[in-house]
This record gives sequence, structure tokens and C-alpha cells, in this order.
Amino acid sequence: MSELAVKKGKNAASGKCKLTCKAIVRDMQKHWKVYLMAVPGLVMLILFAYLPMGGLLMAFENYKPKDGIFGSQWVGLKNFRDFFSSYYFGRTMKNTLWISALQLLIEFPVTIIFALLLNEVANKRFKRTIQTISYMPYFVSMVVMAGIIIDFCSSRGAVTSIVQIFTGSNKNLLSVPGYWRAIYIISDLWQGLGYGSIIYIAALAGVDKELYEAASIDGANRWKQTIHITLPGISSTIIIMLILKIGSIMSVGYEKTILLYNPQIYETADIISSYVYRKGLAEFNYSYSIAVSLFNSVINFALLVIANTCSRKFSETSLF
Amino acid sequence: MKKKQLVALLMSAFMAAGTLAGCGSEPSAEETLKQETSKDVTSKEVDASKTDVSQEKESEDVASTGETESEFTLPLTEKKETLTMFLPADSGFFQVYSDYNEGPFFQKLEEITNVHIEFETPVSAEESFNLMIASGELPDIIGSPYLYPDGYDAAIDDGYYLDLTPYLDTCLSNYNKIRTSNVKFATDTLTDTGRAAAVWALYTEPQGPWAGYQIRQDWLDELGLEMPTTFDELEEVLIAFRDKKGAYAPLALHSNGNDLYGMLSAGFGAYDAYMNVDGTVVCGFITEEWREYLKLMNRWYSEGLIDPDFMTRSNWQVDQELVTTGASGVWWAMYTMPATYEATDENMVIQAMPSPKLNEDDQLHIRLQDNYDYVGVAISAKSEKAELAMRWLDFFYTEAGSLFANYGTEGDTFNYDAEGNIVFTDKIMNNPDGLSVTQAMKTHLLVPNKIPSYYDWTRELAIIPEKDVAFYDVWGAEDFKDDYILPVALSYTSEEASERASLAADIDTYFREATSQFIIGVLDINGADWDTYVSTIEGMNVDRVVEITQQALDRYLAR
Amino acid sequence: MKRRKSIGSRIFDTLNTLFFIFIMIVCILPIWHVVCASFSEATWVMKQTGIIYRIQNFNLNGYKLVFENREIWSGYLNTILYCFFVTVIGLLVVVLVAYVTAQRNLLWSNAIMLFASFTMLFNGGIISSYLVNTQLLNMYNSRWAIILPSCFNVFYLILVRTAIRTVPDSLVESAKLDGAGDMTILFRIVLPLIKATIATVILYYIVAQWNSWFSATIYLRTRTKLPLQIIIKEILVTGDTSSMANAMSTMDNTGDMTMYKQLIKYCTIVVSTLPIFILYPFIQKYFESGVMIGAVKG
Repeated sequence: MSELAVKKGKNAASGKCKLTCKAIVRDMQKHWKVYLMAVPGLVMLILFAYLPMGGLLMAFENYKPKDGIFGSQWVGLKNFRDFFSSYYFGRTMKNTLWISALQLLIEFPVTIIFALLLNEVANKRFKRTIQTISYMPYFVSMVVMAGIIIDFCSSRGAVTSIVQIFTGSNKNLLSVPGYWRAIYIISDLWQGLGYGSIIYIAALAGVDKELYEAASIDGANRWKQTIHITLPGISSTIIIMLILKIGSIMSVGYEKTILLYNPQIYETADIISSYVYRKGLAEFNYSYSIAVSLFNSVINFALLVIANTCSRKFSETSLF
Repeated sequence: MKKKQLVALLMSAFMAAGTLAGCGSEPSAEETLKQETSKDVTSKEVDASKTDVSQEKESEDVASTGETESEFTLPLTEKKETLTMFLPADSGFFQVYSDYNEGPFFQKLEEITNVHIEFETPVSAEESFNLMIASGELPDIIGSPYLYPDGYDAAIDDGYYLDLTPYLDTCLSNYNKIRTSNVKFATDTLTDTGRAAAVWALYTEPQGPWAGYQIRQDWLDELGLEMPTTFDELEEVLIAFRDKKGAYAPLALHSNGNDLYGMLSAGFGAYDAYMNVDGTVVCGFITEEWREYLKLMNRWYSEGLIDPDFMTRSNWQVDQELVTTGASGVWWAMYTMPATYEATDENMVIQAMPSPKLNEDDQLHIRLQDNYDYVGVAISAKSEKAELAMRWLDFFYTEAGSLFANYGTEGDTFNYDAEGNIVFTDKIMNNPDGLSVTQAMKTHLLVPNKIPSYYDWTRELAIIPEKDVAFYDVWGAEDFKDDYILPVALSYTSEEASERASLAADIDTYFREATSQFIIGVLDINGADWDTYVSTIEGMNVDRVVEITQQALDRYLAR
Repeated sequence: MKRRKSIGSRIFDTLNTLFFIFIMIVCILPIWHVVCASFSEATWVMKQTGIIYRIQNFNLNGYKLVFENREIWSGYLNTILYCFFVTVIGLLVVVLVAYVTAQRNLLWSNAIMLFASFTMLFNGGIISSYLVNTQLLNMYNSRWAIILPSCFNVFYLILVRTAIRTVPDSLVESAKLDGAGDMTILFRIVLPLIKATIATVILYYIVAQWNSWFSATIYLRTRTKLPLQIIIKEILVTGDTSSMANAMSTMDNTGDMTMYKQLIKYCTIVVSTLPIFILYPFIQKYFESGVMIGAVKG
């Protein structure tokens, strides 16, 4: 009896497999022309994204160019241990999390508020002007941005002279560790506020107008309308953006940091990605640098998955 | 005048059709060994190599310079050959052109040698160098070879640089002749294992300290002050500059709170590097002397005597703006700069200021070192045209070649005056295309300190006012020695180099950060922060770095 | 259908208007400062503290110096070249993949999407990419090293895919019945319908490439291939390009260039940013309809 059942089960399994295989073949036969269209993209992905992942092996080696990736000495987790016991581990972690937290707690909500407020502007032309002007800073390149920040924060710079009114000191702002985070976030906001709101403005445009009509007939004021109609209407966008943001908590970009920082403010400015950059490209410690960035990616990946799972559970919106 | 003949030679060589002259067969192991044991290659050996070369090109009828000059055939090759070369960009050159080959010097050089050089000019030499090594795409000639992280010997052993020792008598005979003519050259140009890893620029005569502190003499005169020689006097002067001349950055410092060669802290007997105190390696930035120096800087900073933006000054010499706007009265720069500064303000007079001392009669040990030889280039071990590359380099050590590199072509860039001295033509001194003299020199002559040559640095004196030339005497006076500075030519073994580099890099990052914090007062130099600082650095295993450096120094001294 | 507004509502509107006026001033002021300074007299600019809000002694000296710098010109040309190729190749590749992944009846479309999305989370890092690109693909010091790796962008793929999915199936089906192939459907029917998204993505590509500098520092070894941003960076951030190695050649007085350093900085900012500032308002109207990330789900 039981033997039979097992046999049956086996048959079913292989049958299922056959079915899948058949489906794959049929799918390929029918749609190969369509799949062909994806080939250039996939080739690029493999060449420029997947092949380099093999380089992550270097994180476990003492990589020497002369020996190559496959010939270098295998050191296991030594590079990771070195990082965790390094003077810079705690500090770069802390600074990275600080900047990320500020981005999450300030930039993220402020951008949404900006979009909501803009949505309340009735005059079309005024709204359009606001958009054009507030998008402008986004199109300033990071290099130029860094140039402007350096200029404005120098001891005789424009921003310094404003700060001087309050503090009485005309110290170069980029030399004071305590100001770095403010400089980072404010310049982020200046560049990204208007532009970052586009996504929400787009979502706002998609909210059903009739809902507002109905609500105002019911006597809901604008505040209530915002809370009960607008926010729920763009909630899926907000959640997606939030998940993405949480998934990149550990990866604060290095460009701005390496363009702006100086040894004076490493204490607050040095983040994981700039450390990776310094170790890898300035000090040629490739293996160590890759180990640090791998550690970083793993944490990010974990955070993203957690955030996504939570979101799927509680709000039924998810990235994947 | 001999030099005249050489130009004639150059011209004739230029026209003569040459065959591809090889460097002779590789010397036997015996020969190499002999040469390694006695660094002074005897003239006999040189002669031997000469005959070797001439045998191969017996059909050549290019004039030989006779006794003093090894034979050198131009062009180097009959069929046009191309060599590749990794060479960082020279900023002056690249203000005018965007590729070395666009410059008149390299164009003429190509005509003479029949060798085309394909230059790789990286954006950042430091980053690009190791990426280049990692990519395995080595050019024939590798500039900035000191960037190989594990040192010269390792670079040879790892199969990147060609060991040039066997070729010193053949392809590089002219170079070798000059190299062995001077003990300093001979020691500095080989590694501890006695190998030649690179071809080095050799100076026709040593160059004294070419940079140091400069002061606004006109301000001193106006305020009735004497040239400061001690820190106390300097402080007085800085206060006067601050109060009476409105200088907001009376003393300009580099971001390391000093200058790159420690000439300000020299008075205290320490600077921010590993020092060679009478044969013993000392970590300068954890000494009490250094602490004393920082205390003074801390006080000066709080009194507004130091450039408030010093920590962001990454230029290796003073930011020109500070000088020309009258923001600074004392700064560190090259002796060639005052003329440029003074041109912006007719009242400005700049003088050299000796490194300040604690007591009038102190003997100082730290300053910019004299230059005898400087940056070289290596040849790739994988190069198929290594011999050609070496002979191309060797050209700059022949008399004709070094004349061409240093002064160009007679009648074009220079002429001889009645006494037989070289005088630059208007093409250099008063360029019709509107180039500055510097730009004209850099583009019409061999760019200095990029490609090695038998380099006559005195050529630049032609454009320096006498007042500024005298700066050498102030900065390099008797009581300012350079013996605390570690020799540049220390060489490490592969293990030493990688261990040292990874330790030193972390220490460096930390102490640079702490230094400026001590100066601006974020960390308390007088309190416990200093002890924390020292113990942190010790915790980063600074002793090991000192030990490794000591071993290298011992080996160097034993050379 | 105007309805009377409450007082609270009016106060809010006024405050809101003031807020946005403030925002606009903040956004413009730094740019205004730079523009004004760039047309002013060098010595005056050097002595200013605080915001410069007017032009002193209008002149073009700074711009003259900037345009005398040949590297600015070659940088400009290179950047345009890079932008063009990255945009054309990138857009083509992304649109093709997006079309495939947007098909609901394909067995592998989601797998392909996942395959692509995964790269957003994990990458080999700068150095491994460098090794692959130079050792395997032989792109050392090649312009392709700047172009090819920046072509495929997963974020743009998501945008285009989402947009394609909004195209009504009926249109596609009827075209299929008329015997149109996938290529025809994509280029004749789908793309015209999603032109807002395409315009936005084009702008993204151009802006990203216009502003990129990092890969050039790593891959390129010939200064004539450098994009504009590197040249700008050397002027703006590094201060002057002379490094320690240059220091050893004691003839490094950069003359005029340093005299006008401040002015040159401002002028290069204007010169390098102007084209993008001119470009984006034309595409701006497509932005909102072009980015629909909320509908990524699926």
C-alpha cells in the first residue's frame, strides 16, 4: 500500500517536472524572438554587474595583482576581523548611520511635505515656476556642488558670514566636525528637495479627484482631506521609497564625502564608503577594501529584505 | 667650445640614417656578478661595452664624440617604433597642451629618435598607478615607479619591473657612466640588493633647499621690524602684521599644521614624519618636541596668528590668493614664486625668512633636502621593446641628449654668447605665442622631473631675479642642516613594505586629523588628550613601523 | 465651481505662498551669487565676503581665461560624446529589456526582472569592475570603459517597464492581429505612448553622464579623452593641479591662472552647468507623468 503511494508520488513529481520542462520549451519556441530582444541587456548585465561579483572573492584573500584572483593567498575572514577590530570600524559605522538616520528622519519626510504643500498651490503658473526653480539645484553636478560648498563655507564665504552673525566665529565651516552633518544634509536638501518630490507629485496626480469633491461636500477641510485622502492615496509610493531608503542605509554615497572632507573632520565625515575608497584606491589595500564593502552590502541586503517583509505583512505593499 | 660641437653632432646624427642598434648581448652572469660586487664600474668595463655596441653597427658612420662620449646612434631605429609610457601630467605643460606629444619638444624628440611615445597621463597618479598594475596593462616605460606599494625590489621580483642591472653597461652605458661618477648617485640609484630598478634623474649639480618661508619685507620695513629669527620674534612680527596690516591669516600653514618639509617645526627639533636622528629612527609626531610645537601653534591659532582655513589648504605650497590679497605676511613657497607674487602689487617686496629657532644659536636639523637625484622611470618586465626604451632614456644622458633636454636646439631655443655661455632665445624668454617663461620652458624643453635626464636645474635661474636666487643661502645656511630627514632612497623588502604601508596609512590618517584638532583646540594639547593620542598611535603599532624603517635605514647606511 | 474659502484656508495659502517664495530664493541665491561673481572684476570678487548679489564692473575676463583653456573644450566635446552614446545605447538596451519583462505571458519575464533587480543590491565594487573591464574586456584607457558600463540602469528599466505595462493590451493585440512583429509593436505603438517616460529617462541619462567623473579618473589615461567634470574638478576642488611630484620641478608658477583663480572657479561653474540648465525645462513637463514608481508592484 504504502509502497504504491510512494510510487505514485514519484510519478507525480516527475510528471510535474516534465510539464515544466515542456512549458519552458514551448515558451521558448513561441517567444524566442521576444527573448532575443533582451539579449543585449542581459549580456551587459552579466559583463558589468555579475562578472565583477566574482571579485568579491578577493575579500577572503590577500590579493596581489601578480597572483591574480585565483592564485592569491586565501586568508578566510582575516580582512573582516581586521576591519572589526580597527580603530575606524566604530567610527565609520557611527557616521554612516548618523547621516543615514538624518536622511531618513529629515530629508525623507521633508520631501513628502514639500510635495503635499506644492499640491495645495492653486495657481498653475506659480506652481510651475516653483517646480522649475526648485529642480534647478538638482542639475548642478556633484563636483560643482562641492566647489560651491567649499567656497561658501570658507572663512570668508557666504554661509560662514551668516553663521558668524549667530556664533561670532568665522571659522571655516568645513573644519568643524560638529558642522559636517548639517552641511551634508542641508546641501542634500538644497539639491534634492524639489527634485525628490517629483515622484510624490506624480503619485498625487493619480489620486482620484472625485474623492476630494465628495469629501468637501461632506465638509472635510483641507487638512482632513490631506490626512484621509491624499496620504492614503500616495501611501504605496511612500512605502516603496521607504523600503528602498532603508535598504540603502549603509550605503551613503562617497562622492560628496571624498570631494569635501579633510583630515580635520574625519571624526564625523568619514563613512564606510569613503573608508572603502581610501583603503582601496588610495592605499591599494584591495582585499580589505572589498571586504568592507561586502560587509556593507550584506547588511543593506538584510535590511532591505526585513523592511520589505514587514511592509508586505502590515501594508500589503512591497517591492518584491 | 665643446658644447657647440655637440650640437653639430646632434644635427648630423639627426640626419644620418641609423640602423637599429642593439645593446649588445646580455652580459654573462659573471659580468653581472662583477658589477654587483663593485658598484664603481671601471672605465675599462665601459670601454668594453662600447666596443660591443660598435661591433653591431659597424656600418654606422655617425660621428663619435671621441674620448668622453660613448657612441650613440641616432635615430634609435630606422623604422618608426612606438613606445608606451605611463607619465603623470605636468600642470604647466597641460595648461598649454592636452597631450605631451602636442608639445614642440616631444615632436622634435620624435624626429630625432624616430621613436613615437604614446603617453598615458592619469588623472591621479597615485590611484591610477596601482590600478594599472592590477590591470596588467603595463606600458613599456613606467613613470612614478616609487608608487609600487611593496617597493622596488618586490616590483622586480613580482615580475613588473625589468631588472636593469645587466643593461647598465650596454643600453644604459651613458646613464651608468654619470651614475657611477658620484658616490651619492651610486648609492641612491640601486636598491639594497644592489639592483637597478629604475633609471633616475641625475642632477648636474645638487640643488639646495628650493623652498622655505617667505616674508613681506616691505611690511617689516614699514613697521620698523627686523627679520625674525626666533619664535618669539616671529610672534611679534605676526602680531604686528595682524594688527597693523590687517592680515587675517598672518602665518599661512599647510593643512598638516606645518609645511610639507617641517621647516617651521624644525626649531623644535621634530616634524610630522619618521626622522633619522643620528642613525636612529624616531617617530617625530609623538615626541615631546612636537607637542611643544603644537602648543605654540595652538596658542597662535587662538590669537588669530594662523590662517583660520589652514586645515583645508591642500596645495603643497601657499595658496597664492593669501599672498596677493595681503591676507598673509609669512608663508612657505618655492624661491621661484616671489616674482609672480610681486607682480600683482608694486609695493610688495618678499624676502626669505630662515626657519625660526627657539634660541638664537640653535643648530637645526630639518629642512628641505638637497636634491642630487630625483624621480626615475622603470621599464616594464613584459615590454618587448625594453632595449629600445632603455636607449631612448639613455639618450638624455649623452652630452648631446642632455643639452637637448635641458636647453633645446641651438639657434632655436638657445644661443651661445661671446663667452660661450648658453643664453635662451626669445622663444623661451619672451614667447611670441604668449606663453609664460615657465610654460615655454616646459613645452620647448624636457619637462623637468617627469622623464629622467642628466638634469641641469640651473637652467631655471635664467628667469629668477638675483634677490630670489639668494634665498638658497638663507634656507640652506650653515646652521640649517637636513640630517634628520630620512634618505629618500630607503628600500624595503616586499614583506616589510606591505606591513609598513598598511600600518603607517592608518596612523597617518589618525595623526593628521589629531594634529589639526590640537591646533584649533578641539583636542586639548595641554591635557590628557595628548596621552590618549600617543597611546592610540602606539596601539596602532607605531613601534613596528619604526623598527622596519630602522632596518631599512641600517641597510642604507651600510651600502 | 469656485467655493468660498475659509479664513484658515486663506491664511494657509498665504503662508504656503510665502514658504515657496522663500524656497525659490534659497534655490536661486547660490546660483545667482556664482553668476554675478563670474561677470565681476577679479580683485573685487576676491575681497568679497558673503553673498554677491550684483555684478561689479561687468567684464568677461574670467570667461576668456576659461575658454583659453583647451582642456575645457576637449572636455566639453568628450562629455557630449559620452552623453550621446550612453543615452542612445543605454536607452535602446533598456527599452528592449523593459519590453520583454513587461510581457505578462512570458514564462521568464519575472525571472529576468529579478536577475536585473538583484544588481541594485549587490555589486562587485569598483575594483572588481575595474579588473573585469580591463583584463577581460580590454577597455583600459578606452572611451568604451566610460560608455558601456553606464548604459544599463535597473532603475530606468523599472520606470520604462512600468510605463509599458500601462499601454492598453487591446492596442497591442490588434496590432498583432494585423501581423505586426514585436519590434514594430514596440517602436510604432508602445514607445509613442510612453514618450513622457522616455523623455524623462533620456534626461536622466544625459544628466547622469554629464555629471559623472569618477569612472574617468579610474579608466582613462589620456587627457584628451577626459570628460568636462574632471577638468572642472581639478579647477574647483583640487585647487591647483600641482601635486607633490610637480613640486619638485621648481618652476611651477602658474601665473595668471592663479591670480584669477576665484573668478575662474565661478566661470567654470557657469560654463559647465549652463547646458543642463537650458535642457531640463524642456523636458520638465514630462517629469510627473514620466516617473510612476508607485506602480512598480507586480
